[in-house]
Amino acid sequence: MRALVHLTVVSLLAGCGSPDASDAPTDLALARLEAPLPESDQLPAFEMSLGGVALGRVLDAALDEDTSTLTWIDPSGTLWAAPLATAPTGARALAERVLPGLAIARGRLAFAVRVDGPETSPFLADLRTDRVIALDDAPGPDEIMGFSPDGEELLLLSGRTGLASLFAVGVDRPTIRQLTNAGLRPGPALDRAKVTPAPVHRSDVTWTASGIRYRADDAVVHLSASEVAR
Amino acid sequence: MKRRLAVLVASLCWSTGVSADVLFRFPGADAHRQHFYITAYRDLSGAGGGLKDWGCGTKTYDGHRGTDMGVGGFAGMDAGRDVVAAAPGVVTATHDGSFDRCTTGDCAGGGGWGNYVAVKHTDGKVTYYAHLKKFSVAVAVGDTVTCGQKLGQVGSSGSSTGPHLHFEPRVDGVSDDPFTGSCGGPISWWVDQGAYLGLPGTACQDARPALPLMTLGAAIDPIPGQEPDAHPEGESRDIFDLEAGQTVTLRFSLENDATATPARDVIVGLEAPGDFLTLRSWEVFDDAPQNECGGELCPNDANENPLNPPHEDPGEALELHLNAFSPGETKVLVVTLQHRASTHGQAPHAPVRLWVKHIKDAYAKPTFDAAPDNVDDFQTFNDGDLSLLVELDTWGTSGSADDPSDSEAGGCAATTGTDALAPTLLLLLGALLTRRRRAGRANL
Repeated sequence: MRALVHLTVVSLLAGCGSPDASDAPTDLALARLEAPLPESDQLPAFEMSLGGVALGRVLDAALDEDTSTLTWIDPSGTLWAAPLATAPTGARALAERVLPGLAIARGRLAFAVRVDGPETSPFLADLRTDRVIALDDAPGPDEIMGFSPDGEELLLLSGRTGLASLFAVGVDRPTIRQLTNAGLRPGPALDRAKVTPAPVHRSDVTWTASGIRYRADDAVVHLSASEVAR
Repeated sequence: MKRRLAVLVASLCWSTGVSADVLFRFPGADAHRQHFYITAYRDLSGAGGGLKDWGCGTKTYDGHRGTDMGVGGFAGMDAGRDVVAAAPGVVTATHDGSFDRCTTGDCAGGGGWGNYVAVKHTDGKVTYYAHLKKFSVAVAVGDTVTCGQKLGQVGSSGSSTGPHLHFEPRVDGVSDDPFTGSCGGPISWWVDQGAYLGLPGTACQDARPALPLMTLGAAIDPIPGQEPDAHPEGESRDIFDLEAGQTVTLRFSLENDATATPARDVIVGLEAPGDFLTLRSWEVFDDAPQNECGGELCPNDANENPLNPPHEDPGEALELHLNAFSPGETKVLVVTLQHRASTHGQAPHAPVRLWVKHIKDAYAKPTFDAAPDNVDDFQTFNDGDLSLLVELDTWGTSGSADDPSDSEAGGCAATTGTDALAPTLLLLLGALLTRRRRAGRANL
């Protein structure tokens, strides 16, 4: 028996460019299914529904308003995309071994792919063409936290220095900026007082014109616009 | 009057050295072991294939790749439960600073692994210790760690539903289950894996260097012109009896295990009792994949070693340089002996002795009766003795002087027919002869 533990509803306007957009449901809901095994690393699974119609079990999902595309990660880690009006019919696979954590801006979908063990790398898919490109291949774990307000940078929580830190990666330009914990390295000699805490959940992170704000432990961290300015 | 002697083989299959595989200890501190318990094994049925752990149970969840161990919730985590290296190695990756009180299974950090440490071991395996407590990582990339050295503490970072250690060995980037069992793999990677749902032991693998792993065996060819056990009324039954003047061919096999390091400069000693038996010839064959016979038994280059005695009538006591043994290589020393028909004395159980005199940097035993000198006492196998005793009784007519028969060992062609005993068969024959010897001794 399923236990409804958590419910998230995402409401988006369908893109005007799609001929079927006016008829497409726009309410994507992810209902958390049974609680994962205690004291384990079992990922939570969700029941995805659109317009009240259940579409199946997923690890994550997102709607793109510009292209009227529904994207989701199935339990095996495969990333799918389908027209909002027909989903899940017409789905095409974009990538495999994809981590939960999707971000969409201007018709482009950012996601992280597991490479080896904890090593992951960020990728970008153009939902209009299905073209997928690697944004960066530095060793270490990278997780998608969201796009900058102008959509030109992708915010990563990265472990490439060994310490969980925020990085901004250029979407159209090969740039990367370390926003937190520059110069700090993990290990016994780490000065913890200098460490900027990392986000607890990716859903806690927002990047607006006023800066980046997220929840970390019991505090809220705010990186001002000047701190994150290019 | 006939003198009755029988042919027997004794003591077989000694080994030396150790495997190169790294084995693991329990990855928690000794003092905290009682606080750990298994919460999930690796799912051997794979993602989407149901649930099956190494013990044929379902203590796992779909697609899980490691072994999860709880410590009693956040109270246990806050008390500090140390995670230690399961084996010596070098730290290849660390991650720290991620939130460590996750309960939802989807917190950010470490690509889902949260705070973690990776250690690469000498055999290439890499062990991961994941979901550690924030700022508990006690090592840095490049550090050399010893077995049991603290790496961090149990936490609940990354994709975690509660404090636990996720322990995962990986080989060439592929995770594998360290447990063996009815539904698991054939090999355990633990020094002591413990019972199902129990915990592995805390003993570290012996800090042994990789060494050669030698095995000895022996077999006897049928004696030309004589049925086996021609004289069953004697005290040694079910064996070939050596008539006066006849020859017998012994085949000694020496094998270096496939998991071992090369055995270099191997020298063996061979002695026969000169009053009753004469060494007529010797020849060495090997099954090295690179040999000119395509991996079949083939004359070995040790035959050409200038330090070795002549192949024909080499004397009563030989020192044979068998050169190097690759991992997995077997060499067969074929020796022909002849009953000295002119000898009239009794010689029941006259011994032919073969022993490994020297393996470079690993083993030494100057004489058959000497105590072997093992490198740092690492070779504790079977009293650490690489030696083999073949006892020969001969049955001859007093005063006879038959012409010795020629029994040269052949080359490639001779080794590919029925005379060419495969190494495995040689060992089997050796074991069989050992049993016969025991039976014979019981009759004495």
